[in-house]
Amino acid sequence: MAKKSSMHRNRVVGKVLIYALLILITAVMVVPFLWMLSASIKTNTEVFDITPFQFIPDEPQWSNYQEIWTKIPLARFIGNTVFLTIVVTTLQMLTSSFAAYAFAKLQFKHRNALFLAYIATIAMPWQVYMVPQFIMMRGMGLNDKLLAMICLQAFSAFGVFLMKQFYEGIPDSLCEAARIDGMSEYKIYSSIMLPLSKPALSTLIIFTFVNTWNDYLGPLIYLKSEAKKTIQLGLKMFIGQYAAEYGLIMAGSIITLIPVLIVFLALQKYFVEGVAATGIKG
Amino acid sequence: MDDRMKKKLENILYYHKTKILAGIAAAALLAWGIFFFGGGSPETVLYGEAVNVDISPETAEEACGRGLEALGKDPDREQILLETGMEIDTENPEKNASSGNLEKMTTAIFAHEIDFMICTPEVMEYYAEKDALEQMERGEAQGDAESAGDDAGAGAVSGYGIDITAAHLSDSGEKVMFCIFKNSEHREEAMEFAESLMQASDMEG
Amino acid sequence: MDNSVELKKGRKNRDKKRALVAYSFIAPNFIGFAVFTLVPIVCAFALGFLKWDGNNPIQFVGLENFKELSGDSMFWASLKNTIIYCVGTVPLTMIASLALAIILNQKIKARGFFRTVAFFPYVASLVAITAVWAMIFHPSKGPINAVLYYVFHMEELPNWFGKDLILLTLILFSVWKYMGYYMVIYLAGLQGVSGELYEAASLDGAGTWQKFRYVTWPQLRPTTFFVVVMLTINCFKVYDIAIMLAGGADGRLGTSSTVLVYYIYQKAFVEWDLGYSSAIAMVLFVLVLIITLIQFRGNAKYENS
Repeated sequence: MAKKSSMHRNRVVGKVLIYALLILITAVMVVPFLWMLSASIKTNTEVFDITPFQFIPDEPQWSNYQEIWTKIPLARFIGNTVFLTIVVTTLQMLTSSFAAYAFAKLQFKHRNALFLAYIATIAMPWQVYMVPQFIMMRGMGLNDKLLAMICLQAFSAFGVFLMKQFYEGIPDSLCEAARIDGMSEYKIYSSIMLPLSKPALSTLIIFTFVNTWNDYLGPLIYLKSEAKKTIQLGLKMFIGQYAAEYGLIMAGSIITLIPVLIVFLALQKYFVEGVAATGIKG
Repeated sequence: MDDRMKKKLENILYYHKTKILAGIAAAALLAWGIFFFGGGSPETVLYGEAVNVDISPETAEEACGRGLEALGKDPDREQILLETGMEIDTENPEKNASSGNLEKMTTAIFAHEIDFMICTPEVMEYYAEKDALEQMERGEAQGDAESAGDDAGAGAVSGYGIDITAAHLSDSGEKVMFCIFKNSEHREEAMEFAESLMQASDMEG
Repeated sequence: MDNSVELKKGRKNRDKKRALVAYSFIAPNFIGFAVFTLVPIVCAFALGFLKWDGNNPIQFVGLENFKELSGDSMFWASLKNTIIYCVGTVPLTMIASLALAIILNQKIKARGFFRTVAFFPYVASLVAITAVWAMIFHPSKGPINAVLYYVFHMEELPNWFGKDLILLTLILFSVWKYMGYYMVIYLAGLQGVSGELYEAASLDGAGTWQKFRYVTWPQLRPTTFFVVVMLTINCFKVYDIAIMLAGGADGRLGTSSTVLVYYIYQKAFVEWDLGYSSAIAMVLFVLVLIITLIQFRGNAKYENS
């Protein structure tokens, strides 16, 4: 009896500690977001003023949220970015999980060497092969086309590596059993591996979505016509020759952040204990 | 419609819901893509950047349209692309690291992609020092300089660029230069474009 | 005799078919990857032996770039800083993200909210987060130094963006910015840990730490391997946060804060010496490759034991 109540007390103390810790972490993590919110309703001169820092300025510039739509063709940019992000994320998800299955569960010659080649390329900073890549893409006639961005982002080594590591956590015996049942490899992939890798797929979708959505340097170099530009390039248009309109930039950043947070919130649901574990039981 | 058909349809809907939804989504995306980017974009005959010069997109479009006419190109299928809004700090080139603009310019120059640049004299100096600009021969645009008449600086050639301040592309009143890159594959067309800009300024004056 | 030949042939055919199936899985990704990434990277490698300034014909210079590199003090400084940064960042980020993932994997209220908040620094605008850090770590007006002064009565307040501390600030900054990112990977990895094993451990009377040590940690091995490899690679490639946090009034990174990719940027895009920048990248590449190979070995050893 005494033991039970002490255990109960321990659990309560633990819970309280965890929440205290979480609130602390939240406070530390959320500061920039509050800063962005505050900056988005300020005038230019107020944004970087820290003596004293005012969270809500004397005259909130709510018009910033209106101006961003009229000063640049933001709707067009959002359309382009949404299209690009959906296509890249879909392709990335399909091709990466497909290739990762072979690397994790199939035997073939030069498997490890090929895989190492994949990973090694991640180590190469983009700044180094930016120029040869651009020359090549230009030769293919892909310059100033959204297709160029799709080609560059849809086949990353990162996705293959990520998915392969998760597939390795799924026991081989599961595949072996299916093989003995006469299932083809394609069938094993689609009806056993894919349903089991929801958490990993969610991770990959989140990362690809964020990277494509927030990509700046790639579109900057490849997309030149105004009709093809993305949000991040649009936000940079507020940086003029003499001054940057940081109030507008932050208002735009807040708007563009919303879809990212929605996608994250929707997909983190799949990080639920037992999704993969229960599958393995059966 | 008889009940069996209905049942069958319901069955199909029930068992293949995700597949049907995915198909619809893919079709919608494709339609969107064609709607948004279909019809093919016009071929770019000349590409240039406005660097540190504040040119409004409307002015740029107008100037490009006139230039296209002067070059005798078809405005429906071809275009002169003048991108505006590029900023480069030439005094502290390292400061451009966060904007990515040096990456953009360097890549375009190394790939022989960029043809011309409308910029301030400082930017011209910066790229002239890098040996990236075409040296202009005196006399090539001299005719324009003379026809410009009272405005002494207009059309004047200063080693690596033509003074096109008189074309009033920017409202700031600062000196504006037109430079052609050595690596450009369309140097003559770029020159013609510069001349068309100057001629427009004559007509206004 | 005949039989065994037939059998061998059959097995060979089967292996061939299996390999074909495997290649068909890899092909869609590999073709795109090879054309758009691998080929340009190979070209960039070749650049390391060339001199190319964009305007003049490309020259073959052999090992000239590497010879120059060995006597380049700025290169050595950036290599040193990058390594210090990696040694500090990799373990700290890994521990922080794992702890965060374990906490946020428990059944608590508003879990989705806390997870989103933890992921936030990764997606926030870089301008905003550097502005906030500049404010918080401000030498005279920031709250951190205010605490040091009023609570700990520190006489000489540290300049967090000064020569001596900038790398530390950079490390703290990236741990804070990226721990939510790696937390997501760990969260996904934790879903693969079988609940039955926990139950079994509980029955054996294992405490929280023992459960972590003998159940969670071994089961997370593939995830940890991924996190450590990616962290190492990304740390060696640190660039944008360095220029945002450490760039001086003229935008330059001095010897105390310069990092390899910044030096690559400077050589390639400011000085237009693409061959030299490729040579620097090759050193970076070989270094990371060696570390990755060691990590692979370590991983394989664990797998077998």
